[in-house]
Amino acid sequence: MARFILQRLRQGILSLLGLVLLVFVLARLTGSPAHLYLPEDASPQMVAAFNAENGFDKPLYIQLVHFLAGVFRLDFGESLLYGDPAVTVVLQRFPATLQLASVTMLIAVTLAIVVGAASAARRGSYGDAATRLGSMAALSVPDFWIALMGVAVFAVYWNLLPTSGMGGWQFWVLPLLTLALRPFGILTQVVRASMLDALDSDYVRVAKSKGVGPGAVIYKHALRNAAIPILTVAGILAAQVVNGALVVETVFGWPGIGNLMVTAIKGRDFAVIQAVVLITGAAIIVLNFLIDIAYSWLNPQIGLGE
Amino acid sequence: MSKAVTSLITQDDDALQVSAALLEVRDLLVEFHLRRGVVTAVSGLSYQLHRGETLAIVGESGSGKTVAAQAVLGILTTPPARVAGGEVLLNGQDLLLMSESERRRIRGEDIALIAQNASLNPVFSVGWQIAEPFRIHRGMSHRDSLIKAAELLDRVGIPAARSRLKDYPHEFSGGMRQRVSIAMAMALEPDVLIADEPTTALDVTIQAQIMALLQEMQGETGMGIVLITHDLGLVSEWADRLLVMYAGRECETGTVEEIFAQSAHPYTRGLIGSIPQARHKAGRLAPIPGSPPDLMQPAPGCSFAPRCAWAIDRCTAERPELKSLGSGRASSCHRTEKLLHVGEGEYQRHA
Amino acid sequence: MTLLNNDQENVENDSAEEAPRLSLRAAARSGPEPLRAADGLWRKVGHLLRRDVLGIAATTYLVLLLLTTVVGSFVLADSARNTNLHLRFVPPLSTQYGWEYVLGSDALGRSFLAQLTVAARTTLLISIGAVIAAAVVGALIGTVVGYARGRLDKVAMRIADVMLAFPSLLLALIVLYTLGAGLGSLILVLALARIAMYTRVARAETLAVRERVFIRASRAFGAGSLRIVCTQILPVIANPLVALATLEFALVMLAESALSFLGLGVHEPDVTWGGLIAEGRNYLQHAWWIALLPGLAITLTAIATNVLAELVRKAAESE
Repeated sequence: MARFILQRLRQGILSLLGLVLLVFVLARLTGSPAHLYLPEDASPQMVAAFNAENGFDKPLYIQLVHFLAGVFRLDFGESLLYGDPAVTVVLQRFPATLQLASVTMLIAVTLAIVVGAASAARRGSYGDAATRLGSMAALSVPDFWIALMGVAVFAVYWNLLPTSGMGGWQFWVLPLLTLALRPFGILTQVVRASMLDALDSDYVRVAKSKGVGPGAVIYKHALRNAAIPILTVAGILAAQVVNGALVVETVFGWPGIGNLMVTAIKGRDFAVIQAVVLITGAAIIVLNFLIDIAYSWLNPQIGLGE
Repeated sequence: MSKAVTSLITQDDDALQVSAALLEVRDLLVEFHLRRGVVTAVSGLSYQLHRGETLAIVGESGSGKTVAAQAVLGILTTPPARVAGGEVLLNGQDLLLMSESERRRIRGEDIALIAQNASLNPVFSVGWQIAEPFRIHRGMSHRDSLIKAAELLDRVGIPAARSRLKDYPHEFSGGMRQRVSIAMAMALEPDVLIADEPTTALDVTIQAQIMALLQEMQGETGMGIVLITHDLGLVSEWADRLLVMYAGRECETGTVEEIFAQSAHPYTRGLIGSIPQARHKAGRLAPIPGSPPDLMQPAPGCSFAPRCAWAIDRCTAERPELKSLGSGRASSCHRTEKLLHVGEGEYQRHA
Repeated sequence: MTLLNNDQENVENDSAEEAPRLSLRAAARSGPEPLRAADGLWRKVGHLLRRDVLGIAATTYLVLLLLTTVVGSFVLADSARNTNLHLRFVPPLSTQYGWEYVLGSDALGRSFLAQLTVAARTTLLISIGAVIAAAVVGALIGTVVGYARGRLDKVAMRIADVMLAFPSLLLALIVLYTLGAGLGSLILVLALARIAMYTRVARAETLAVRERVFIRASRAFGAGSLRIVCTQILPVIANPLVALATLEFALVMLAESALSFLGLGVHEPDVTWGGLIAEGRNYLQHAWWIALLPGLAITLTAIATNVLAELVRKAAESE
């Protein structure tokens, strides 16, 4: 177990370091990073002063050392738009996105398991065909568009739900539904396919021959086996929910990091942008670590630490 | 195995019983309703299984032997499969007339299954799996059922049984896994055990050990075994009676001795002839020339005719009915009489 | 991923083929049976199409879309530019202002049909360009590291893992921010985010075929490594890569429309469907069709290519 954690920790740090380097290289690719940090109409004097202050006139390797030291101290610079340290700004917004993303995945996974398993159990029925078509449509719809349509119908036309912001349950309905749509569509297909494999196996036939009831056959014997591919895909999708959050949070004015990122890009707030990227990267590494642990719990054949 | 026919006489205590057989299948008809059309996977299968008897059902893959067994157990995937006719009498009760919940109560209790090599669910401990029938059918607690599971593991010859309850299937060797499967199937001492290719994935010495264990269990409980296999070597050593299937139909049935001595069906002869060297040694079926027919478009005559060296015009025009040859022996071939009077040498020359 | 095929065809064992597998074909292939180059893939797709109503519908839609786009970008180019302030916000489904206004007009009184058609061309060009760029680069990297093995292979796979684990849109945003928005950088970021996918598949396929007799034979005759990769491996592993590229199209198009919606897409006067939706966002109450129709176009195109991708995958696996 300790070996496994160390190994994952090493891999995680390496990945994060790669991400840090990527951000550094990108920031220097366009010449002086001053262009990224400062407003577009900054005067040459301002640029020079900024460069001297932040050491951007020094050789590249010294800049890299400075940059890395900053990252280690969680110092990504000061936000241009908010005046606070970028890391503070990002961490303030992080919980809103985390809540939205977790509830989204919870809904998507639960619904996908129920619908996908039912579809596999009634293979070839009309319900099965409808599920397959529906899940295909769900993963093909642009999430920001369905969000806009939701606002147009439920908030503007029928006036049932609020258009934007965060608050009581009414504020959660549209963002959750639009964000969950795509992971739900993909996961339903994965659940259906892996449940079909599991239901067609000898161990399921033997379980039935022991007198196990249909519910336990599907949800205990088959699902536990199908859970591994489901978990893999769910893990990838959980990280990709950030993609959806970028646009959906913008549409609904959700005070999370997706919204923050888009605002930062429009406002040329580079300190915040790199803080969002690196903190999201760290969160995803933690997520993958948790998934690895869940794997070994689900499948006794996978030991920890390979 | 213990000679079965004797049980016919000893079972006089149960006067009400309609049939003396433990399990009797009559005219079983199983269809698959696919988008392309209807496939008749099993057509008019009938057999009887008596106490303490081992009946081998033999055929190539796709012959319907496994589908027939699943129909008897009631575990076919429906749809697309559908039992379209026949009777399945277990201890005189027709299973096909029962409700699903009644059948479920019988499964595991009176009739059980061992499958090829993955009877065990890879993600649950073996103890949990063996104990499951006790929890479902006897309402035992988890704790009590595990004690039962340990006893069973010990009975099938797993060393240090108690300490292995928490182990997962992949922590056992192939032979040991099959012992665990037997323990699980034997949990509630069923009257009928269906063993679907129980030794296919195992090497020859382990095969013999597993079959010996099954025979031992049979001796203790008097259960009947339906042994589904494509391995005639196994049949010659361990079965009492034999039923050969081809394209969903019964070709020939009789005692193992009779059929191996002089088969009354060209397909059976082909199967026996394809056992390498000495017939009574273990061996797999070498393929008979040609391939099984498309069950979607059955030809009017005998389904084996296109591959049969003995086929005459009548064979492609008229389907042969199953004809009784007396003393439980039957064959479905227009040329049965001829075959019964032809020795092996002449048969070989003909083929 | 898998979907909507003619299943339920075989009596036994037909569900195994349904698993969402992109590179599993590699695992199934073993032994030195003769290999054919990647020919006949589209013929096989055509054969599968004959029994598949949904597949026919999807193909018909895509053919019509391509035709409309090609013809429309000539015929309708002027109407897409012509503003007419008397005809602002004409509602759709009426021919009272001429057939060009059958899908209504936008805030400047331009024919929305023309707008959609011109946007279709840009959307499709960007998506196809990004898919091809990612496929070519990714496949080349994957084949080379799969052929070379060793440390290079390990490093490349780790990078691919990290790239696939990270939210692609976030990556695209930061690259677009530093490079500046525009057609070129848009295609670049869209391709960059998906290269790792092709690298993985190409590598897995290469590992499966590299030890084949014919490669060993040509190595013995002194053929260079790069030549072997290009002439012997790439043609053989092309089918699964084509299947993957078809599947990736919808994904790339969706990413493109999201970026355009956020205002990081192509510059004016070029516009894509995603950009039209962003425009329509301002008129949700009075002119719902401006946001609705391009979204419908994206959805239908994505569904159609996903249906087609499923058929291509099946054809690629049915060797």
